Amino acid sequence: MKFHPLIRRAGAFGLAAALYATVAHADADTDLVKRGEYLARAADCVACHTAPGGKPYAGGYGIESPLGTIYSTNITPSKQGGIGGYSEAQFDAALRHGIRADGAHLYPAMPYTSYAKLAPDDVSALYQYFMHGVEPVDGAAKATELPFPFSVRLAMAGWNLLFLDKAPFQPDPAKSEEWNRGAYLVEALEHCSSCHTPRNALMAESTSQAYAGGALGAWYAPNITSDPVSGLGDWSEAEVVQYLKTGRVVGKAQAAGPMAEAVEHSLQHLSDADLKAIAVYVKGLPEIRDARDQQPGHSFGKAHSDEATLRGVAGVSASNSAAGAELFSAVCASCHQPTGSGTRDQYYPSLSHNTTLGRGDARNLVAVILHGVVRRADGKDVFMPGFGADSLVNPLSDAQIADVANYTLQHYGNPELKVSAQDVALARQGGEPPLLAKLPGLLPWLVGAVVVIIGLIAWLIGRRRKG
Amino acid sequence: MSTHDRDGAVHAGDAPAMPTRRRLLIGVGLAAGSLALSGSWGRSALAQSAAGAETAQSANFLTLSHLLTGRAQLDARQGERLFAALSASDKNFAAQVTALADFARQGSFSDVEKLASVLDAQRPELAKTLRRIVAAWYTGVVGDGPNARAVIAYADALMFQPVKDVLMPPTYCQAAPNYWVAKPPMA
Repeated sequence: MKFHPLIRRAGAFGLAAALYATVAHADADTDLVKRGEYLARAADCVACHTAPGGKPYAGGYGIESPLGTIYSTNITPSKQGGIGGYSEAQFDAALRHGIRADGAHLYPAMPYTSYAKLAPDDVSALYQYFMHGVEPVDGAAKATELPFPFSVRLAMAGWNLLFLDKAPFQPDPAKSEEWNRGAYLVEALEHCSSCHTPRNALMAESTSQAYAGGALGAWYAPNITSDPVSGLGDWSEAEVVQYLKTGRVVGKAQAAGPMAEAVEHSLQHLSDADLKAIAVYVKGLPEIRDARDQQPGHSFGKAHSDEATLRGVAGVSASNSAAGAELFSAVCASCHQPTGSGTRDQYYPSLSHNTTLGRGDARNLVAVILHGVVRRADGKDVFMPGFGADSLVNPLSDAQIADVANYTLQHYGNPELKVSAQDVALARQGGEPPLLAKLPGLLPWLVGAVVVIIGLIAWLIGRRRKG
Repeated sequence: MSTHDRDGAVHAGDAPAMPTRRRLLIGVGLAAGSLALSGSWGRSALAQSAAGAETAQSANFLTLSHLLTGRAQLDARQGERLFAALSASDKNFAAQVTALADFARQGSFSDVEKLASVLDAQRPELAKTLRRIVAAWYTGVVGDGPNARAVIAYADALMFQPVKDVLMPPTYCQAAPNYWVAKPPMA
């Protein structure tokens, strides 16, 4: 076969162009995968989709929900155990609407109500990352088995009808570009409201109380609205950025528990511009104040020591009225210092001017005594041992934890707060269960009540017909 | 870390022999209570004035301690406990404090070194008391060796104060782990 030279030339050019396009496309893919990786970090997928000591994104992490343990899915691109067989549309449905490829509904432990706001471009980038940037791991993660009635996943269709807003994020043209970027990060990717907004009786986020603080097992995700007393109004933008990047602001607060995880896995990896945007948005959240709060959490307390009266007297006894002071001296003071002021570098932080002790809620104080702090951020490891049942230092009883918590609240924190041994026992069990979690026990009664009501209505109708 | 008997090694030998201030106060309180019940108001008043005298002596001890340690700031609660422990270890201690305070006042001493050298020459028994008081404030312990009593001050003992900005006594963290690889601040 013979071609006109011009055609041959054109053919060669075409081939070159095609080759060039492929290379450019590969570059575009790499960029997309990279962007997807950044977005996956911002969304902190790894926190829930990786079991302790397990392979990244292979799932199996048990999320202790009040309704039972929900195990995260394998979201590696393995066709056998993960989501390798998902099309982009199926990925989008799972991510943004909580519907798996097999049509089953996800539980909202997966924050798809937040991810619903993701921009289509970002969903594509995430899809590319999970298909091409993540190591496939075969073997499905442990299946979730919640008790009846929560085992009926179809119920989530009704829940979604009530609480899932499927509209992607709409920028507000009246606000700055930075504010809009912050809003997108906070509302969609970082899904801050999942923890910081309290939940209603059906465990959906209460929109009237957005970011006013919510319970999270034994922990409490505090109010992050711009209220100067209950929220972050008294924090500067720079302080919010520093907190998100390092997990601490001296004289204000330190991240522990789930927030330490969020800083470690997600927030500290964000660009400075993105962190600033988050701070701008958070500082502009509508103020919501808890009427019980009189002064900002970080404004309480001062240095105090009872060493002069305690040192050398007989040891701690449960009946001793000074038990809290003695426990403080024995188990807290070695790091937080006898005055409670922390070390000079504040690696071991001051207990006064510390929101953990000054807020209108002592749950985080009890949780931190029980579980300690583990946080790797800003190139440093921060560690506080827990004093719960599995403590390697000194397991304390409920009464002892209440004593020492009350002592520290009295001198270093909000003296109005009181912790009881019952509060500590509840925290050990993972906090107060919501009303819905009590449903399985109430179910026979509810069914009985419905039967009685139906019977009553039938009887009334029957009587009316007769009359 | 045990929450019990933190300073056990030091006071284990003779703890029961030491009437702590708390026990003393309870004793005085009980005595006053029972006397009041029996209607002996006069004797009750006597017991109260005894407690008052002890407080006054303790205050004298603190005033004297300011001179002996050369420090304007001393913890009054710590002073009370050191005085009680020193008194318990020596029944003449209170009288010696009075004598020492009188001697210092009469000689208008404002410097402990000078006072000590004069006492060494003229009143060796009071010089000994002076050194016992200074040692108690600096070490936080009353008595030596097998006769040592409870550790009354530890981190707050005066010997740790001059280096407090860079060094806390053992058992207390100074700073973040591995802080010791950096040179201490020179200021």
